[in-house]
Amino acid sequence: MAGLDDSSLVRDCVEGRPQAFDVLVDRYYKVLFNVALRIIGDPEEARDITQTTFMKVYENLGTYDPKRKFFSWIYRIAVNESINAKGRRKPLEPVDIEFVARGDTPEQVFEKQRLHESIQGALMKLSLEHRQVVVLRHFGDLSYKDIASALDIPEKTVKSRLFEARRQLCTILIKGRAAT
Amino acid sequence: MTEGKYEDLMNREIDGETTEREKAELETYLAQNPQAQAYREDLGTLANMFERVRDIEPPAELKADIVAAVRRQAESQAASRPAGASAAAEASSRPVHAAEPGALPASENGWASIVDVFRRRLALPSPYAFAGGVAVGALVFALIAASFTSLFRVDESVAPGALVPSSELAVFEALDAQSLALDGVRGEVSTKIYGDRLLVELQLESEVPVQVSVTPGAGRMVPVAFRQVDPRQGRVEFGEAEMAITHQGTNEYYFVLRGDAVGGSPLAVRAQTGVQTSEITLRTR
Repeated sequence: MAGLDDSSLVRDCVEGRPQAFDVLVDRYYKVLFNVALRIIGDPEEARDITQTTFMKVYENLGTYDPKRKFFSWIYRIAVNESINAKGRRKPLEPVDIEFVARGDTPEQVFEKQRLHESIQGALMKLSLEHRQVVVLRHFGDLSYKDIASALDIPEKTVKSRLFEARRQLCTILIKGRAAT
Repeated sequence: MTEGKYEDLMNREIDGETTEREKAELETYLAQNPQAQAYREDLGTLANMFERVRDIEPPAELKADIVAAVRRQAESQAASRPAGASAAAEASSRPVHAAEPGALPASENGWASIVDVFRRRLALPSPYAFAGGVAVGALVFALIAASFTSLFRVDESVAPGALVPSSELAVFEALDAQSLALDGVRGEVSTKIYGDRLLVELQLESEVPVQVSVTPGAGRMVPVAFRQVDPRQGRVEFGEAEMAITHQGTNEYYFVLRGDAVGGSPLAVRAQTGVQTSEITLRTR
């Protein structure tokens, strides 16, 4: 079952084999968590969004159109959940993020922590519209076309927002750092 | 200023969306435009920065929680179907967290943030996940922003610490290093600083039990990460305005501290065996 494509797994779920959904969860929960985290900025909220997204995906499996890429569809749900959660959020002190070292030295892990804080701070300075496209491109690995599908905007708009967002991030993260 | 067409090409090149012909055209343009070349390098740097922080691990029990929640939802839906439906529902009282409550998420090399100790101890089961998340977040905020008001004991059964640099961490600037003077105890203590964070390193070797307390002279220091190399030996407790280590054997302890005392008052370290006491102070700036 692990080797099946997304559409086949969805079909299996709809036909009464819920184990197929476990494979979809395994395939996408990490990247969904990262996308939610980058959009919302809070790990606990990102966790809740990830869980809620999968519950909504499961609830609406019967409405999934196989002509559309499955992960664009679930990202669309995740992005909507992230936007909804943003409206509910209370401002909280950021919680330390856990990086799995995977052979990194403690120094490298610490550097990643600092870099993550800088990047997340810069992302939160972008508008939500710009942040979404950057996050889906760099942390969701979606193409322009898939981002357009996930956000229901033209591909041309994806590119203009993404390129503008990068311009802003270069100013904040690279030129800003060089100036200090 | 880079022309729109070439900015488009540079961005698409980062995303792997250019043809060979477009790449060649871009290279020709960049060869004559240093400013544009500099921007292209910035875009590459930005992409590399993102790549370096991609591997944020979700909470270890997240996948299990999702699967459990979806199963409960499926059973609930099946239960609400009319009689004769294909799936029979069974009332589910499965807990939300598949992991043992209070257990830290196990990461691959045994590192975990001290913040996770407190977060997991206050974890609440779904469907109170949102309220629990807010409560935990508020508690973490309070812990980081203020001094402790009660003792916390680090659970040694799980891998402690996180993000604590080793003694060879080059990014921290060395401030001070001193030795404890006790018979039967070799104790080396050092302080290093990086921005608003103070790294305190203790290397202890003792044949006898020794109690070590670490206290700021004035102001507050809150540990935001810590690690003890051998989790089986030594116990660390975080009390109000101090950290206490109960130690015997050989071990290394690392604390990363933040607070208004960092870069200000010296750090007092007091070590006591049954018969002797050694006190030293280390600079924090």
